Amino acid sequence: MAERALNPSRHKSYPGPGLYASYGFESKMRAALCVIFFILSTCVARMSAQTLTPESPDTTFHGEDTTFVIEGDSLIKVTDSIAAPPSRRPPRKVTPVDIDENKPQTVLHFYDKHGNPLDEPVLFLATLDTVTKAKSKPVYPIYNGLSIGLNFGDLIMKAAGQSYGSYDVWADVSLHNWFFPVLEAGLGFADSSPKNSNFTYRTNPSFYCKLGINYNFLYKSSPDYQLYFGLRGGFSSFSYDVDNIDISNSYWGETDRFSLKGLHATAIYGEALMGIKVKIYKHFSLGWNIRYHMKFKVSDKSLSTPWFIPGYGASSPLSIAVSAIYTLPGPKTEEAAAQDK
Amino acid sequence: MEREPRPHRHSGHPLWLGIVALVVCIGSYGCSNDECYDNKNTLPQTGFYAEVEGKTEQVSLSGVEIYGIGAPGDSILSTGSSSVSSLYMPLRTDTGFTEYVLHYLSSDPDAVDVRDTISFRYTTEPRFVSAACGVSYLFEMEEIGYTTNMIDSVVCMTPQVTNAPLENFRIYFHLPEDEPENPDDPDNPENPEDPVENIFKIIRQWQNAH
Repeated sequence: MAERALNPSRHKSYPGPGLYASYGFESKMRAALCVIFFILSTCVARMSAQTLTPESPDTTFHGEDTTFVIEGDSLIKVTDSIAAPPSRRPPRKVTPVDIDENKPQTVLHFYDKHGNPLDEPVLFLATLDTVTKAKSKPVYPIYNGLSIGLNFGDLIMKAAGQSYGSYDVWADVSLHNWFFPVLEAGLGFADSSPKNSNFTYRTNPSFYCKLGINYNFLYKSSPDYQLYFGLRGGFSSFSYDVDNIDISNSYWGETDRFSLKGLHATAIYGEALMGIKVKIYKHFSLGWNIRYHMKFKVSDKSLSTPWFIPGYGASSPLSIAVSAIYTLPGPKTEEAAAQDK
Repeated sequence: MEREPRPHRHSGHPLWLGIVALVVCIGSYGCSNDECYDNKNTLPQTGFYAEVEGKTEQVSLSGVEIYGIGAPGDSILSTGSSSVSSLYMPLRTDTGFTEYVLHYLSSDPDAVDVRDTISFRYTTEPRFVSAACGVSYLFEMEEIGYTTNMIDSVVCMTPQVTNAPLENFRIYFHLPEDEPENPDDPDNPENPEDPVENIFKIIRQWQNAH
């Protein structure tokens, strides 16, 4: 660094030897001017920091929070001697409020009614509704009677032109007047010659049985009346004949007349039903239900597909069962007797 | 204060509900006699196909007379006067064998008589289909034979021929590969150099698009 200062020719901004001689004097002058400027600027800044509000030309002036009075050569500080100048903001409106001395004060609860500490204080301790829903419990004893019925619904449908029918005897056991396991067994047959067809379909009386259960919605009411939903699973093994078959082929001039005898099939199907039962006289009742059928499996050793299935019906997925019922009532409890009244 | 037992109110409902249920059941029984959406008789359907520009397409044939051998009165199944892309070809039920002849007609009396023969061998069994469709035959195909003058091959689509409205057979034809000599009038039936073109009038049909 010293070498660089002694050899200023290496510095690009070096002004030259003549100016270099006067460089020390100028710097001293600049420093003095800077000190004077600093002193002046400090005084100006202090004066501008005060809002000068002269009340008399040379005796008093106000700062932001303080009033100064000049007495002779000294400056005396006077505090709060003069009110602050009025604010430019509009005056606040105050609405008078009546203070009710008797008003109950809010009380926070830190413990519940049982003295257990709460997680956080609350204003109110709510009282829960202690009334609970009545539980579904049976009114009648587990064995509440046995019913035997005869289903003759297809007699009515036969009068409407139905060419097949299923008639059965069934029995159910009342469990609490709530659930009713049911067993149905009967015979079904068909004899149909549809119009514009080339056959006569016959099913000899064939056995079928169904097993299922009913759910009585009125299980708390009198057993004389039922509104129920039920499910059934059915099975049938049956034989059928297709007679008077007439097939003609106009191009080859052939006409075939024959019968398909002794066709045998088995079927497994299901039913969902809805029905009612009404007491008619003493132990005798009438009931009906409407049934929706579903085929689960139909097997036929031949290539044919059976049209009528005993207990299931034919093409229609709906059927109606109407039954005459005889009921052997079960033992009565006191509660059940009260219900009957 | 003891509460009064609620009276039973079920006794008024059963009659109405029963009547409604009965009407529903009778109505459903009346609606259950449905229509037969299949054929009432078993009629095998045969479609005509050819390979056109590398693609197998169904084609319409005109000028092809089709008849069965042994048909009473030598009755003709298709006279060839109109274009056909598929045809019902009934099978005989008295024997398990049926033969059909395809006679390719030509307006040129000097043209060579070209025919193809297709024979079907099968077993027959009647079956009850449904109350609506009745009884029809089921044909179990055993053997299909054919000549190959114009026929490329015959394919059995379903080994069991039932009354279902399906295409049971496909007949694939040869198509002329040579370009006609007169390109300005390729459909000229008088063109003696292109006898196959006289027989076939191919209308391309996309099976699914149109």
